[in-house]
Amino acid sequence: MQEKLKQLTLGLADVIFGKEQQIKLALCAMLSRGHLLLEDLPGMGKTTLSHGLAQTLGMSYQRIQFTSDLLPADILGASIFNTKEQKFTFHKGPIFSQMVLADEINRAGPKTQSALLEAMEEGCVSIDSERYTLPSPFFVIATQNPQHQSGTFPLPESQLDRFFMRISLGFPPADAEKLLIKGLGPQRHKPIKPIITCDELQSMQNQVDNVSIANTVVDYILALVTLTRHDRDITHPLSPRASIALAQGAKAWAFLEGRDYVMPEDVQAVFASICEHRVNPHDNYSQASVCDDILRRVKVPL
Amino acid sequence: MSNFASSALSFIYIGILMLLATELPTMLLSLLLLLCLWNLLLANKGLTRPALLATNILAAALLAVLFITVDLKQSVLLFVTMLLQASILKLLQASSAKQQQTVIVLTFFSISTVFLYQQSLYSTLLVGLFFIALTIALASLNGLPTTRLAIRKSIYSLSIAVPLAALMLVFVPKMPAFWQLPGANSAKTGLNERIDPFDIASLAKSDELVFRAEFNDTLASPPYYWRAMLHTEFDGRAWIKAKIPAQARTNIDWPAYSGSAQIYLEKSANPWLYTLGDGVSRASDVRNLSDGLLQRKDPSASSFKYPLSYRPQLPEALSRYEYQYYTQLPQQGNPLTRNLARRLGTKSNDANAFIAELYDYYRYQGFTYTLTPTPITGSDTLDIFLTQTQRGFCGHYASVSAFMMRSVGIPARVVSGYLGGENVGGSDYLSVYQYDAHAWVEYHDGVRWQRFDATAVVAPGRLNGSLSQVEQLRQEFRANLELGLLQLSSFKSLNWLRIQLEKIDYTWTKWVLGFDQQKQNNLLKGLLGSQFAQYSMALVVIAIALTLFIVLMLSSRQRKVQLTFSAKQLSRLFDAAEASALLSPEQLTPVAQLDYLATHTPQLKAHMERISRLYVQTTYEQQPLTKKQRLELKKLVNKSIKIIG
Repeated sequence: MQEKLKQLTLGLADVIFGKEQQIKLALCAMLSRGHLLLEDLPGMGKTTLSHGLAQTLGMSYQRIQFTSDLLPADILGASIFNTKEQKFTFHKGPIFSQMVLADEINRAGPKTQSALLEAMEEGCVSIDSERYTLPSPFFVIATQNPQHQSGTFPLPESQLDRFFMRISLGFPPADAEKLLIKGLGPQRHKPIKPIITCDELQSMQNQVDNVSIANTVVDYILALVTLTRHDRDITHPLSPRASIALAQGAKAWAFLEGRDYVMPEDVQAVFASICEHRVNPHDNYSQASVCDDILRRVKVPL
Repeated sequence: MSNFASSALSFIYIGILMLLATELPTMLLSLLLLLCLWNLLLANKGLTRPALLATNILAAALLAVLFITVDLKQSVLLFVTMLLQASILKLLQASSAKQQQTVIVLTFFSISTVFLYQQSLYSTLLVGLFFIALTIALASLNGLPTTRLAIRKSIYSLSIAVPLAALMLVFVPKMPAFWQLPGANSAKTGLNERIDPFDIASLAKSDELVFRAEFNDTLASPPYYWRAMLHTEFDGRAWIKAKIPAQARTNIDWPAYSGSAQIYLEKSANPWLYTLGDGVSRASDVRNLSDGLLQRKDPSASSFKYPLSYRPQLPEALSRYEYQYYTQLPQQGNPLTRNLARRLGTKSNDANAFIAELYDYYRYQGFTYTLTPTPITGSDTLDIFLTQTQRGFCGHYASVSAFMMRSVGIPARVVSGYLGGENVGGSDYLSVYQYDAHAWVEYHDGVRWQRFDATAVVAPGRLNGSLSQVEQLRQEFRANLELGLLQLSSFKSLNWLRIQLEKIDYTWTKWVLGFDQQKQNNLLKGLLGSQFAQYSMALVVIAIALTLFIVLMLSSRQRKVQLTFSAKQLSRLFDAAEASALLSPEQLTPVAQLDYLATHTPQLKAHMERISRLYVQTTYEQQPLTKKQRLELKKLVNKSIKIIG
């Protein structure tokens, strides 16, 4: 399993250059069954990363480009009258695939955004009082442009909270960019081979659940979360959903590190990605200062 | 770990069912045992548990069995069985740790139901074992990594509970029960309201304790005839207890009762109590009857203690009605016995002479005492016994003798009770067992009721002690006894063990089970002085509440600062490093901090790596350190501190 995991990281590193940390975080979200929010300027490789993830993990993949006139039915599907059979038949929308890339999610209106987010939370969609179960595993990777760009509808806090992690890719390191410019980077049109199957992914997810977490580490997570609840400068304290996500993310990180137990280091590694968009939902493109500050202030219990 | 808890719970329930085996209907018992075994199998093989629907159907079926086999009037048994059933089914279903935790909470109640039926020292010890097993299961569910740690934790928490329990026994006010349940109808007895010995082939006797008698001044001298019941009517086959209950006795002349004793009765659901001769008791829940016998007002099945005052039976004239009552016999039946009685009667002119004739008759006509008589069926059983078999135990002789006396007009009645009692290891009390059950005759010689016991001539040794001590019958007695320590008493060491256990059990009965409101009051008076005695209960309650409060405060404060062993070592190391300004100024994780120390203080490098490894192992991997590793960690930290300093 660890061998596969290494292959997976290497395979993804071929797709997107010089971003090992972000690739690992993205895998961490997949292993924790969490949805991912990629946030960056246009042209930083968000779409490439999500595409690469879907391909290497061997999942069915759909990309939805969000625009201001996109309607919920465009995502979920709609019932259309079938004149031959004289009844309505449901036509599944693009959301019925294992991995959905919601590109530029903040360009669509709130109604459309919430249709997607509801599906993320429930794992199924209801149309015309029928329930349709979404495939399993089901992941949403949403990308979003920084909010100060024009023509955006910012996601409300409650919907941001549904995303397990938020990752910013950031500019590539100079030598990686040099290769990109020279055209020695990943070929866009070369097909990417799947490295693991969905079943293997699910068994990995189960292994992550079995990673043990010691009381001291739980205490550490609690101390981190509690600080956000008592500090007056932090307007959005962390919810229990966030602390559960933190523990889960730390387990996945430990698993990626090849351990079956969690250390405080794992919590620190995923803390900013999991918590930044929750404690600091609006000022989203500033440096990840709030979380770093929290980490600096909380003593790791012995 | 959850499988461990599940199997442990199965074993506990099997244990509970075994302890209650005599109370539960066999069918239900075996079904519940099967469920426990099934659960054991599921837990050990890790198989999937039955579906909800299947369990519900099973529950409905079990309920049906319950209502068919258990009488609705036995409400206690009904509730106990329902609780056991529900918990076992829940256990069968519980797959997650959380559900098992619920079952564990239920089991705390299930285990306690044993006390409804058994309160002896041994069952208490067994129940203690169950509680230990239960807390181990609980500890293992809560993520204690090894069974050994779980056991240690469980014993620790129970050992805290024991002094608390003792404290509560002594100090918490004894209150009457909030509601009265009909007594668990369970206790076995050697006595029966109907004496019909003739179709018994072998008298299986139990070595179960019936009661203990502690004499206040001096031990009365043997033989001890403990009277319990009078059988005054003969129905052609058996002697039965009078249907009209005896009247309660008024105006008792207390000083006339010269002997006194404390009786510690084992658990029994029978109303009758035991007395030597004519007895009365001052206990409020004892009814003193006009025939010199005692009865319990509320025969609930729990152990019971009463003071007894006794004296020999006094002269008493019979009224005409009483004379007729005590000489009535059926018109027909047993002609040979009647004839024989008449023949003996013609030789003698008064009652006492007849009795002497009767004794001689038994003595010289080849009658023997045995616990394995030839069974006699059909009618005229007395005739067959007298003329043909001539072998029997107390019941035979008592039945025949009373019949013969009545047929010549001597008022007579059969008394049942116990004869003897074992004075275990020279102590000042007598223990009376079920195998001491006895029946004899009382006849009225015109002046007073006299005792007639044919056993005295047939097996004279029986009068002087317990049946177990009669040399002549020893072999037969052992063969008929249920398996127990007594059966093996010919081995010296085992007999010694039996006597010691018996003494411990006596202490338990006297001081724990017999610790009632009066004893409590006396103790508190002694402790607090009599002027405070009236407030003693309030004081005690306040004191206990205060103690509990302080303990809670202390323990909650302690929990916050409690560090594990390795954490303590590490914090020592960091304190020392900080004092020498070697610690990183940033907030680092413990492992990162050790790394930092290793890189900045090269001579510490090897130590730090090892300490880091041990710390990660115990804290994050949660694998406890061995003794050797603990020692190693301590030494490493000490050495490092020396280097730093």
